[in-house]
Amino acid sequence: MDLVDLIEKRRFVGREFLVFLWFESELFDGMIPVEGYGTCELRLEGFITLAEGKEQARLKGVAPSGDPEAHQALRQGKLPVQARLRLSAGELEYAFTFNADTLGMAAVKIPAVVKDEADDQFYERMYLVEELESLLAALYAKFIGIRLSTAWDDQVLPAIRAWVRGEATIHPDVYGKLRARVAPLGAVARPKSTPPPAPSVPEIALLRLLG
Amino acid sequence: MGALKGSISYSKHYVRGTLPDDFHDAFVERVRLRAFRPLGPEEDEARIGWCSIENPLDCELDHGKIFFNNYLNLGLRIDRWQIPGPLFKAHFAEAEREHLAKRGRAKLGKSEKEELALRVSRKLRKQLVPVMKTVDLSWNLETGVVRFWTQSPALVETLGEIFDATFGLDLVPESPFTAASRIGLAEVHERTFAVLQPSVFHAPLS
Repeated sequence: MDLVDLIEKRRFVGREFLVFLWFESELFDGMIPVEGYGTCELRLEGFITLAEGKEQARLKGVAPSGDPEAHQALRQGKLPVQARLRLSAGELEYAFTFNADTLGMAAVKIPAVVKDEADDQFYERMYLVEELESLLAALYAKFIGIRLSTAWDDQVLPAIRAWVRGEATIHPDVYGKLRARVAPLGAVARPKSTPPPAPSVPEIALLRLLG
Repeated sequence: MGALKGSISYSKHYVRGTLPDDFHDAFVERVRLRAFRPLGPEEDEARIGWCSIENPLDCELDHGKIFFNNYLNLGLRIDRWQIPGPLFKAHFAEAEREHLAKRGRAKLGKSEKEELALRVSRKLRKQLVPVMKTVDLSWNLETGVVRFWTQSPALVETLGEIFDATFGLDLVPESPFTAASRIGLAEVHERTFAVLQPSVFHAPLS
């Protein structure tokens, strides 16, 4: 298979990744452990689009993924292709539209940019965007680790199916332990080439005041 | 919408191949070869070329305008003629009347109509300014990640073509497969990933 084929024929993995994020977000009430970042908050909010072939269901609302219609769409064999996600790690809070087929992000809301100069704003924006990409890559590495392990077919997939049907699923503690046993594959590190933004002049003044 | 300000929407790509030695000077020269040049009234096709990411009117590019530490930043400027429909129709009708009166005829032939439309368009273009569109590009030269600050498939394709023509390097788009490769999977996992079959989430318990 050439590269173009591999890219096209593995697009379904992105949809499975979004189902996995949705499942974990509901199971852990939004608080998901992420390698290298501690516990992060991940929630689906705003809208979600599910599709199977040409059939689509687009749901809007505060938390549309929690609506019965969303689970009904899953039961009909539809998978999420796009969703609005909110992801927080420490003090950094992001919101973005996630496209499952491309892993692309649109309408990304980054934490406030504080720099005034155009150059500084660019570096700060890039730092924040790369930080978000690294976070998402860490989640994806964890998913791939689980997806390629025997735990997927043995425990995780049956648990997701029960969740899809609206039945009692795996206990969060049991799933947490299972999840911890599966190491994420590969290594995800944020690029070191874009350093974190240096404090601005008002920030330095504030830091001095605080001693 | 762009790299420097505005809403953040982009498509991500990875550069294949290695950078040549002393690429900074070579890249500046190559970018200058494809810098944006003004669109003339005689040109029917859109004009496409690089401009400064900070100012689309600045197309005199040098190191300082292209390299931002480890990033190569450019704007892609696309100018095209877009004559408002009612304005074109009114001027075309006038030109048609004059043309027919001069020749004492009632109707234009097909080729005459096309020729007249072109003449009217070019005349009007001299009184108008082209419609300008710009898209930003940021290339992290250390990680090989290129971000096009658009998700429009047509613009992404145009950017990919001019990127290839300018730098002689291929781009691979971000995707579930590409992202898995970038993680650095072991060979055994790469093989498993390559033959992975879709899971069925709505199936009953076995």
